[in-house]
Amino acid sequence: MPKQILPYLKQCDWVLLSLALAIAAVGVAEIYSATQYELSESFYVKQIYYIILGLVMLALVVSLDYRLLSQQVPYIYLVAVLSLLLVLFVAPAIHGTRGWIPLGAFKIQPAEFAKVALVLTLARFLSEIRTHYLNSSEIIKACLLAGLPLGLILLQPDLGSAITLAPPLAVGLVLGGLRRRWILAGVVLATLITAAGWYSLKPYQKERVYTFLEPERDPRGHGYQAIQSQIAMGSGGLLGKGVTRGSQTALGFLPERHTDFIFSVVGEELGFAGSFIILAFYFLIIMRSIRIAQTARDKLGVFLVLGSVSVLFFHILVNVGMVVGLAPITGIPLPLLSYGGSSMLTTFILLGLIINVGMRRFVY
Amino acid sequence: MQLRDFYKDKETTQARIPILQVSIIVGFLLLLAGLWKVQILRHNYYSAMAEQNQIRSIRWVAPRGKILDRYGRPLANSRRSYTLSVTRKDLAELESSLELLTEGLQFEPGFLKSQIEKQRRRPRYLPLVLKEDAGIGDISFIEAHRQELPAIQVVPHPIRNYPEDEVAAHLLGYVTEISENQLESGIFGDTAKPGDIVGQKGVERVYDHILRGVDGKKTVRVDSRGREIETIEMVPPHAGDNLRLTIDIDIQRAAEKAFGDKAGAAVAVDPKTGEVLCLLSRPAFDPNSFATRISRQKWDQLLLDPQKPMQNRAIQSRFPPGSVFKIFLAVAGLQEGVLTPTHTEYCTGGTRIYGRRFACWKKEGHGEVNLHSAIVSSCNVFFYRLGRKLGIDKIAVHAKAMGLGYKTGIDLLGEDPGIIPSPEWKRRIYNANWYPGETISVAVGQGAVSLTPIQLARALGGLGLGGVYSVPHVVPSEERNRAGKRLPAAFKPDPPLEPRTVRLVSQGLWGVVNEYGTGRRAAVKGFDVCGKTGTAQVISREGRLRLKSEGEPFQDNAWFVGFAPRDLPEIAAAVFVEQGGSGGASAAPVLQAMFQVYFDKHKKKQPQDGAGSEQITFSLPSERVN
Repeated sequence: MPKQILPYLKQCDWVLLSLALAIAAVGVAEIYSATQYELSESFYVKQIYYIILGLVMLALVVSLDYRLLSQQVPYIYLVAVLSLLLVLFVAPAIHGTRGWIPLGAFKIQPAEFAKVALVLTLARFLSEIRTHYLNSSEIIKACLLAGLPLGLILLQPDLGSAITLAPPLAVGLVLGGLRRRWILAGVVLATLITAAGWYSLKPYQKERVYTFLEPERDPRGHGYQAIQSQIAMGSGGLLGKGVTRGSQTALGFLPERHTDFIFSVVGEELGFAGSFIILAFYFLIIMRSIRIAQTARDKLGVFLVLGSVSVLFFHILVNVGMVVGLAPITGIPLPLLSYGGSSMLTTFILLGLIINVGMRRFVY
Repeated sequence: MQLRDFYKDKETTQARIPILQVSIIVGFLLLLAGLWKVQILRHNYYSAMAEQNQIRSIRWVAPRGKILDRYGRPLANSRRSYTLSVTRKDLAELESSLELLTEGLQFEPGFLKSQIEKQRRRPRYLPLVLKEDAGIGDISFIEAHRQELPAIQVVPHPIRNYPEDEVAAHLLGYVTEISENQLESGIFGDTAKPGDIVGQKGVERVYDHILRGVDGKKTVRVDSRGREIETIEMVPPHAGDNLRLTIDIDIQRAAEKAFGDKAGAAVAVDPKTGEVLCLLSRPAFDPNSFATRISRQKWDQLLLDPQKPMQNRAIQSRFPPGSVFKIFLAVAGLQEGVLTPTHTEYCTGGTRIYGRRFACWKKEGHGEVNLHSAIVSSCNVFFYRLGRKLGIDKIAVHAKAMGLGYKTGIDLLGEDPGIIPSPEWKRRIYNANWYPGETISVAVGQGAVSLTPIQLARALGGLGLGGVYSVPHVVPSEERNRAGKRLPAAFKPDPPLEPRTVRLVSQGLWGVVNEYGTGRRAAVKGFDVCGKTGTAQVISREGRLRLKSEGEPFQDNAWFVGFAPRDLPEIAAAVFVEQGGSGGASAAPVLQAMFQVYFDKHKKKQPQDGAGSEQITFSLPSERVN
């Protein structure tokens, strides 16, 4: 057995894994800094456990050939949908939404695992289509596959998590082959959904959009987070104030500083240099993943890798965009950096899928 | 559709990857540009904001100046208190400890939530007040639970205190936080800020700019929870200036005591200067209850109370003067020459004028009456006939010449001018003609004529002085000048009073108190009190009968007005008692109480220090017995 595993281990993308662990390590340091005055919990210790747990999950995912994994797709998808249904009925409502299933000492967020399930499901479904372009029934089927979990997450309601299911669908469809008229139809549909969606937004969600457009509008209220986050980033300057030295962070002006706004803490304490390096690491991880997709052995691998990449990239884009004021405030965590078990596990599972595909490109 | 071979198929898909690659690169470049802009280009701007973020100015509330009586005794002062508050940002954190707080601070369940809800509309930078005037127990509770309640601030805050409670409540007014409307209208000046405590009503309101100090501030470095880390700057507050009033607490207290629990008003003035010595209105409120946030319920109760406790009846309410008005009729008759001291009328208990019978209050009649006995016995018939002779226009001219029907110009707000009716007035207000019979009612102070207590006090004092009408005021002139508050010029009576008129009428008023008149209960031994009772019907005779049959006692409003001593009076007063019955019984004792205190203080020979406290002699023996 070890002899069989060895060539795989050689093929494992250690660089990619190291980049990910480096980011996660910075995350632990910054979570420590961000919560140093919180006496109640040691978040950074927990985060280390999450990382270890994530590595275990990654090892598990990597050890199974992704083609075997894809055979389990119907079950995985079913479990994801059922858990999303379950959450609607059993989860306690926190701040008006229900997204967490308490499980002993842990809280499980089914929406996170729905991302993984959807990536797998779409990869399996789309990779089995052998035509150059997708036909309409295939497009609709793909949309329905994504739409079911997306709709269930919207019911929680959690708009932020729901839209993170859109990128794997979009990427899958583009890769699967869309004729021009479908792209056009997609653009029109997206516009319509945006317009219709605006009217169904809750007042606080609208307020967030307004605030994004003009944070000074309500500097003590909804704009508070946006402004404080930018103050933290901006006051960091080129080299930052040093870990545990950020006044915005230490004095607690920054809200959600160890979760959604962890990148502000990085920006304040490590400066432009630090946040640039983090961003560069993310970029390298994604570019290496794309390289894996380009050399993947089969179509399933391509879809798996790029589906995973789309989820990771979307999180980075929206979260960092939010922190620097380019995107409205949504509760989307930053992979590897933000405090949180579910997000950490999901990220490592997605990375595991990518590494899995990369490991098995030359072995038949 | 043609199936492709496996490889070709995969390559087709992979050929589409560059689209994604390019999008991702563009995305990262965008984020990089965002980082560059925020962290490099706007670094200085945000650095300054981060610095500012940690600095907070805390208002250091200046205590209001004291309000003192004429001898410097406090009517209003400030006491130290502590306010428990929480900054708005920490509200969310507080939610979890509401129960603990409710229990620890002994609130009603749900009180905190409503308290917070009530303050939703205050400016966001003002902290939310959870409890004003917190006790030692409250503060030690907060300090003992610092770990659970880090967000609660204990801020020292001077609170207005009225040591005499309800005494002179209407005169003093009260203070509350400035309202949004007041802030917008700018009536408290440009310097007024949200959260300021300002005077509402009374002296507190009129002299607010003197009493209100200048708040100081404390600039501190805070963490995001508003907890102070270090002090950067301290600007101590300037306390407001003290304000001395013309009021004499002793007289005020005596009047309040004599008033009992009746509704009404009493005013005493020094006619020479116009200084108000006493001003009370009943029912009263306790101004202390406004000093801390008054509950909506309590406020509604005060506003909706049919007894109108917020109304300052001494200056804001007018009432028919009843027989008190006969004084002015006598003045008008003498001034016009239609009345001489020897003129007599015969009272049979009533008289028929303009085809209608007008009754005297004494059914069996007064018999033959002259001016003096008519005033002393308050004979209606005498004055009905005098009224007919004078006519309404002349009555109005002479009443107005004594300042009736005009605001006195007292340095308090909301004064009512009263009404001296005339045909012209009736046309203007009711667009109706004057009936001659109305003149006869007015002659005895009934009908449309209606006056305020302050007007009557001034008119009586002015009459006693021979026609000098000073403007009543509650703040002495030197203090008023400092406040930049001007009184209207004292008016010259036109036509001026003739000395003979003054002498004859004063003599009649002296008789009311000191002879066989209706005002004997106003007498102060040795002080030559002059006065007149008045009884004004509240409702018609038929209405009264109806009410009586229903078992509800409904009495007339009672007046007593007067001055003392008879020559060169030093104090003049008007007392009004709602449903007091007869003026002699309910109103005269209040005036007596005020005059007695004044007399004891200023006219009685003071005993030698320590010794001989029994040997009291009077400096003015009552020699002018007629």
